[in-house]
Order: sequence, then structure tokens, then C-alpha cells
Amino acid sequence: MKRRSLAGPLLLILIGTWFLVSTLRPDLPLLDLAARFWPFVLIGWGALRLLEILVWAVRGQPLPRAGLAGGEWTLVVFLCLIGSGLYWANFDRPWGRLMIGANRVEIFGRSFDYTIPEKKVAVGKATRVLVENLHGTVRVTGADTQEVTAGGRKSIRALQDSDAGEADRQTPVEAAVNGDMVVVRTNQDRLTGQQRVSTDVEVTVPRGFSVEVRGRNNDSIEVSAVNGSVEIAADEASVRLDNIGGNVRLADVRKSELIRAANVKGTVEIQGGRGRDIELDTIGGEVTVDGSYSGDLELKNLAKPLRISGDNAELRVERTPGEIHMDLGKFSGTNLVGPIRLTSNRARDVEIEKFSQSLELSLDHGDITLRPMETPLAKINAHTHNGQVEITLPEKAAFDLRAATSHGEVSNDYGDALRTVSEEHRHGGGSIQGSIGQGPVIVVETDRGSLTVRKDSGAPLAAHNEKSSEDHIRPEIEKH
Amino acid sequence: MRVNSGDLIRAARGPLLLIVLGLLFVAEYWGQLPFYRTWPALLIVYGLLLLLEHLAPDSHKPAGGSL
Repeated sequence: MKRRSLAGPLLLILIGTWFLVSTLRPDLPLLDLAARFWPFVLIGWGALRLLEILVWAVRGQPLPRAGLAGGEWTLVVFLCLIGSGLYWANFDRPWGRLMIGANRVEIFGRSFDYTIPEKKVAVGKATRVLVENLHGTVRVTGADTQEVTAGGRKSIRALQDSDAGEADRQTPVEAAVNGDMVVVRTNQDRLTGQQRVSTDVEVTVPRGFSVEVRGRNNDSIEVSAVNGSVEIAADEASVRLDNIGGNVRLADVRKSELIRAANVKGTVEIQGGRGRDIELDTIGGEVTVDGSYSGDLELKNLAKPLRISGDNAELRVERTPGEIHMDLGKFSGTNLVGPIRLTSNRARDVEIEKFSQSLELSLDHGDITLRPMETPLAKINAHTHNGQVEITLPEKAAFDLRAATSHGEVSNDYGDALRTVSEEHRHGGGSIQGSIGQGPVIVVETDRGSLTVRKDSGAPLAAHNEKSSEDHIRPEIEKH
Repeated sequence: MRVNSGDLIRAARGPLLLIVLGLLFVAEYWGQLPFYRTWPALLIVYGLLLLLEHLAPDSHKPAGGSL
């Protein structure tokens, strides 16, 4: 007699039950549950089959050649693909959560708007404000006042008017003094139904206040014109800060489209996040950026040291009177004060113009274009594994140059003043070495790419490059 | 009929691999250990089971002595 496994029928019952419950109770988050718990079906299935085999073995019945038939493995593969897809869509990608996690309210509901009655609290001895708002926007503004004022509007997505009204009653915006802190809460966590509440809260505080904002999925969080410190924590939020007197700490903003801070007198610390763009302009204290940002980083006028630690790049700059632009493929800096240290282990072209103090540059892949402009020169050590190197030195600068390429052409504007050696093998390669006056050691090297040493004519970098490519000067070459 | 241990291990191979596969996904979702790092465990378990099967006494050979 052919023995049949219990796993097949049980699996069918499980799937049937899941569909039945999902049609009878559409409000239950069954897709979430399936996405999270499907691997336990594999474990249960395996355990059941194992148990059956052990029982047959104990009873002395003949065992199947394979514990799992070919058809069952096919089903396992399908289950893994569907389960992983569900998990990926539900928990890894926000658009997936929107699409698959959408319930009836999101699909069929309407949006109802409510105005939040303005709350006023006399601050007394309080010196800071805490704003808690899970969904929606937060705007905190400093003003010449001795009160904290909270108002704004609420948008509630619900199937009908009465549901929205109930949700509005459950989520009142409250403001109260608690010790040295004024707490403004939007109470979205009290919501019991399926309605979606998004609160846009506007808070006015005395100018000397410190501000703390706790959110979850916020469209934007804005703080401006306060003299105290600012601290923001949210799973996802775009942050805009302007005119802040104290330190700024964004240690817990896990995901952001944009972080913008301008006119901050204290330090700026952005840590542990994933996001796109960062814009920092006129920052008085140290700037620390630690995380993975895939968009544009625009940094201007930083009075104190800058430190960026990413997945693929590390940067230290002592001061940034000028500006830095950085994206996944390029780094450009103008008017920087060193010591400057940049290492990048992904393809990235680096262009630095007008810098003083020492420069240390190490690239895995990418062109290097350097133009210090300032004299006296400081020590430079720049290396790329794969990319062109071009250094333009001030006409009257003193230096001790050690430039080399393993594979590529060499070009030297200084003529006989520097010794140019060109290898004769078919990949090219060579070096430009020598001292002009008593100056610092300048090392520029590439393993694969052309090497160019130019004399600075004072023209802007881009124009200089165009001119030089048209009017390419081949130096006298000392054959090796 | 007496079942030999080689047959038992061979029959249990599929279910055991299925359990390990499920555990690896659980480790990814609940233990932050991504599947792309842990998948070699499947090969190791499969290899161990093959080894055990190979080492198990073979009941198809006549037991003891020779004709």
C-alpha cells in the first residue's frame, strides 16, 4: 500500500483557512503576517515529514527513497519565491508597503480635514519643548514670546464622516508643562480604528528654547529661529533647520529624502541614517555625517572640522570656507583648509581647487584633478589605482615633486626644470620628478592613467582644462 | 521488516534540509542574519547527511561471514 503524507492535506487546509479568514476579516493584517511567518510553514512541513518517516521506521514499514518528492521541492521553491517577495514588498520597500499593505480605508476611504484648536501654555520655568507626532509634519518656530502655542490641521482618511469624527476625538492635540519641558502630543497612538490620521502641527516657542521632535513617518520636520539645541528622531522624515543657536543632533533619523541645515551656531551631528540629499550651509561647530546617503551632499561655509564616514568614502576637512559637492560619482571642493583626508573605494572623480595645508587622497577608481592655488604649498599625497591624474601648481611655488604613472602618458609643463622619464614599453608609464626651490614633498601617483603636471596660469579650472587639451604641450622626454 | 539507518538518513534528508531552509529565513527576518550570508549552511548540512548515509552500515549486504 502506498503511504501518503499528511503534509499535503494540512498545507491545503492552512492555505484555505488563510484565504477564508482574509475574506471574512479584511481588516486583519494577514499579508503582513504571511510575509513575516511563512518560513515557519517550511519548518513545520519539514518537521511533519521527518516525524512521519521516524514513525514508519519505528513500525518497520518501508521508507520512501526520497523524504521529499520532486513535486514537493517545486512547491517549496514557489513558496520561497512568493514568501520572500511578500516580505520584500511589505517590509523592505516603502512602495511595496503602500501597495500590498493597503487596507480598505486607503483604497476606498476619503480624506477629512480638521482644524486643530490652538493650545497656549505659559512656559513658566520650562526651557525646552518636546513635540511628538508620528505621522504628518512638524514645524517649530522661535518667537519673542513667553508662551508655547500649538495649532495646525489634521487630515483623517476614513470610510465615512462618523469614523473620521471618532478618530479626531481620539487624537486630540495636547500641550502641557512637565517639569522643565513643554510637551506637545498629537496622540495618534490612541487611535483604535482603521482610520489614518496625519497631523500637521505648528508650534511656536520662546526663542531661547531647545527643541526635541519625535516622529515616525513624517513628511517633513522643520525647526527655525531657536537659540537652544535641536534633536530629532524619526524613522523617516525630511528635515529642514534654519537659524539654530545650539547644537543639532539627528542621530535617529533613519531615512530621509533631504536634510538641510543653515545658519547653525553649534555642532551638527547626523548619524546612522540612510537617505538622499544633505545640504549644510554656514555651520559654526563641528559637522559629523555618518551613514549612507545616495544623493547630493552640498556643504558650504563650515567653520570647524568636517567628518564624513560613509559606506564607500571617508572624508576629513579641517575647515570649509568654500564649498564641497559630493555625490556617488564625484567629489569637488573649492577653497578648503586642510589637513584634508579623503579615501574612496568606489568609482569617484575628485577635483579640488584652492586648498591649503596638507592633502591626503586615496582612490580606488577615478580621476584626480588638483589645483592648490595657495602658496606656500603643503604636503600632498594623492593616489588612484585607476584614473588620470592632473596637478596644476602655482607658478612661483616651491615643491619637491614625485609624480608617477605605471600605465599611461606623462605630460609636463615645467620642461627641463623637472625630470621626465617615460617608459618605452607598449603600456607607456613614467614619472615626473624634481624640486623647484625648497618646498614640501608632493606625491601624485596612478597605476593606470595619464599623468599631467601643469603650471598655473590663474585661469578657472574648467577653462584651463579646455585650453590645455587644445594646446597640448609635449615636454622633452628623457629616454629611459 | 527491519529499516537500516542508511535508508532512514536518506529519507530524512529532504525534511531536514527543508527545516534548515526555514530556519535560515527565520534567521534573516528575526535575527538580522541575511540569507545571502547563511546559505552555505544548506550545503554543509547536505554534505553531513550524505556522509552519515555513506558511513551507515549497509543492510543490503548479507550480514556476517561469506558463503
